[in-house]
Amino acid sequence: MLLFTAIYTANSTTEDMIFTRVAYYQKAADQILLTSAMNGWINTVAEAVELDADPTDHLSRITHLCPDGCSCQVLLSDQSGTLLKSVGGLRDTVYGEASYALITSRLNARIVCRVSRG
Amino acid sequence: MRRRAFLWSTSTLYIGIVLLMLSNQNGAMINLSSDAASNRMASDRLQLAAYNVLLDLNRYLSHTTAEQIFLLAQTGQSPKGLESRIRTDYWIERMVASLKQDGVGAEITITNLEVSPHQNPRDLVQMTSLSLPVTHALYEGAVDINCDLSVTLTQPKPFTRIHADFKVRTLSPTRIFGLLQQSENLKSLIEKQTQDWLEGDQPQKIAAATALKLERLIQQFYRNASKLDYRGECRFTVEVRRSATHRFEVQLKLEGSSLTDLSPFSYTIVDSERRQISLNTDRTFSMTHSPPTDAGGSDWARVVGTVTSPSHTT
Repeated sequence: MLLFTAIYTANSTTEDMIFTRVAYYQKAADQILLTSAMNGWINTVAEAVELDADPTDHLSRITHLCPDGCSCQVLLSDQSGTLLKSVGGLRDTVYGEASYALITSRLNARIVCRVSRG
Repeated sequence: MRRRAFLWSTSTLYIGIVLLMLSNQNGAMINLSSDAASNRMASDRLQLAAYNVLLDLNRYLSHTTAEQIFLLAQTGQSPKGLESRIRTDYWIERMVASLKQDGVGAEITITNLEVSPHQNPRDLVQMTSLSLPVTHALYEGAVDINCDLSVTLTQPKPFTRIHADFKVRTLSPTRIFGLLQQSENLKSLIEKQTQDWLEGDQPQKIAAATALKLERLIQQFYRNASKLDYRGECRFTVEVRRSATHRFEVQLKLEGSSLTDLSPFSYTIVDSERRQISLNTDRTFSMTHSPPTDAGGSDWARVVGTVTSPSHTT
């Protein structure tokens, strides 16, 4: 009984390393947004918002930064949380999520990047 | 038999205890690494937020400067005091509220905001984030924007706090200083040459001759300016009035005169439309012409004309 408990506990704790796993996806989400901002892609999204144009192409470009073995979704919402645009799909539970605030003359927008396994 | 059974059970118990201890140790290690990962995630999140603040301020400054320049240029005003028209407090308020929604407390201060004619190379990351090349010939006469940004961000769970000081070294590629310089150049050209143009002893003759020379001068000026990606357009009036015998008052008026910056980087967005920056200036030049003879005739004459830049091709 004792032996069984010991082996079971050891295995289940290895499986439960949630935070270390989440950290990877979280880091991926952070990096996707930071790289997009530094490449000027967030600027183009902001311009699309200012011009009241469709930002789909610019958001798609951001999802292409998704690392291998992950699936990514990029969302654009306004300050009240209303979803304005969503690009990309997720194949599993969301493990990583990062957001980027965008202050435009029309609205306070938010770009959210979600990363899952798959 | 009893001895063997005792040995087996003792060794099994011993192995069980060892495994249990290892398992606990493993659990403790996992907890430790989970805590470390959680703290690192919180710190990474705040770092992303700090860069978010820097890069969004960079974008806001560049765009707001262009917008304010557009408004000033419409009425022909110089960009003097442009800093006071860039409302950083308004941006801070909105950014702090936005970060708060995300569970991040922020203290943001912007100091030493100054705008000046473009001289120094700008920050590579800040320029790239604006989708602009770091250096370009068409930045001549554009606006350098400098300020200091201080950001303190806190997150309650797990408690994490970061402080960062950034130097904003960005650019608004709207060439307002270039437009002003061009406008001044045209003014001095006209001032220098008009006195030599005045010829004739009748208002009609004086007006016609002056208008022709003025038109040629402006056309030539616009041709040169178009090489630097500026486009000009103006309506001029030459008015000649006899004030006494042998004395004529000549007035040149440039009305609806505009000089537009055609640089692909120079635009602003107003009412969801891209708008180019045009400097509108009306100018009047007054002179006196005293010919040795006076042929008489009417006391007043006026010639009106329009000059536009040669069509622009890029």
